[in-house]
Amino acid sequence: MSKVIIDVRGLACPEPLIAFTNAIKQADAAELEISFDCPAARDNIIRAADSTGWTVVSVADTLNYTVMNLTKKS
Amino acid sequence: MQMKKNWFAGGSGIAVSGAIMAVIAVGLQYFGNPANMGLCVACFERDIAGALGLHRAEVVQYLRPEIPALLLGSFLAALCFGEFKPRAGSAPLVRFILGMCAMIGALVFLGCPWRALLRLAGGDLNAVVGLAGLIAGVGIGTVFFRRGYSLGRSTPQHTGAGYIMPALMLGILALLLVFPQVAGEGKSGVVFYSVKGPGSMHAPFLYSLGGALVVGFLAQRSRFCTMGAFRDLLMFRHFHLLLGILAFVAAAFVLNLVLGKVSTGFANQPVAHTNHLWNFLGMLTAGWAFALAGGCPGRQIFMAGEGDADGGLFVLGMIVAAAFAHNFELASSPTGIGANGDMAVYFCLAVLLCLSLIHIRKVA
Repeated sequence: MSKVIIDVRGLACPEPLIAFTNAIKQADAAELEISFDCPAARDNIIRAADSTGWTVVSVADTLNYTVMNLTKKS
Repeated sequence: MQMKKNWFAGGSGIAVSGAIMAVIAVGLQYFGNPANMGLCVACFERDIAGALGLHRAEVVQYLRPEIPALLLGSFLAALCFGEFKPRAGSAPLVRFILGMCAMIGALVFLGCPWRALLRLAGGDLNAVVGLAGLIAGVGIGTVFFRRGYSLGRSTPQHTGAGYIMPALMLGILALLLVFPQVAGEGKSGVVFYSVKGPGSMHAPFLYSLGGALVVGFLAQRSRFCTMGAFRDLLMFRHFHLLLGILAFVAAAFVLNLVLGKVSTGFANQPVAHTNHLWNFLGMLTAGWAFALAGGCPGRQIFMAGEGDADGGLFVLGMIVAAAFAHNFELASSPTGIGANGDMAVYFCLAVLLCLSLIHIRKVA
């Protein structure tokens, strides 16, 4: 079990979602931290998480970007 | 845990937003905008290029207030909800050129994806051919995304940089108010106007302004995107954005039925031609360009309102290309495609292929 950290700050749709879907395909991924700044990415990732068995545990906004932590539902 | 909820980005949110936007668009047609052209980003940017004298096609010259209002509506929504994030620097010149290719393709079809949906809702079956082209173009774009296509990262900019596009839009509105149309005259001060043709047909200023402000606001909140709807379906099997455009078409169709504005068929449709090959290829070109730039022309305006200067450059590329499209006879008209429209589409397709290939950064 490992934590995957992805940084898609500065990348626009659909790249944050591509990065997210690629990351959760890693067999041992149980926790994930994703940093992004594209406004649409927040809703896209929350929706994609819901449909792939992941839960959002925290969302932290800073001035320029957002950090979201997710865990795989057991 | 408590999370900031965005109702508009949910299933019912985007459907309701799409339906409201359609009602506003059909309403603008009812109050004076050209038929099946209540909201058309490509057509209206083309009209703005004409009003500024960048091209001199006399039937398409009007400083459409809808374009500034769409951007300012998104700007207001982004400010209200803490999503105004000035950013720039993700291959700006490439985005300008993608905007140009998109406009040239859209003017061969005679409309952006928004107008394609409105044309469909008015019974214009040529729109089906155009939408098929759009989906094909978006599909080509997704192939490159799967192979690692990326225009790279933007970086945060000074807050002031995010105000530039909204300020330019206020400038367009100011020109319209300082030099208002004089009945029967083709020019008022420095601004050109159409005395006949689609450019002469427009809803009253405040209707256009108010309606498009609401559309811009809703689209920013709901992430409505006509290109993204097909891209997400093809790439991720996500139906979410598609729900928005289905609601848009359904609401526009019902309202058109109520108003008696549905006329089904291919021939004699308003501001449309029946050349299937070029309707398809024009929209394929536009769809590919939208996909590579990450959003339909409306979405680019909304992103510019959120402070994305790269989206702003795409918009400016579209306006410049509209001038070329009319000066070089690339744009279609109801009588068929322009004298050089076919060559322009071939050229744009070659440009898009080159830009797609040189931006593949890794092997997936």
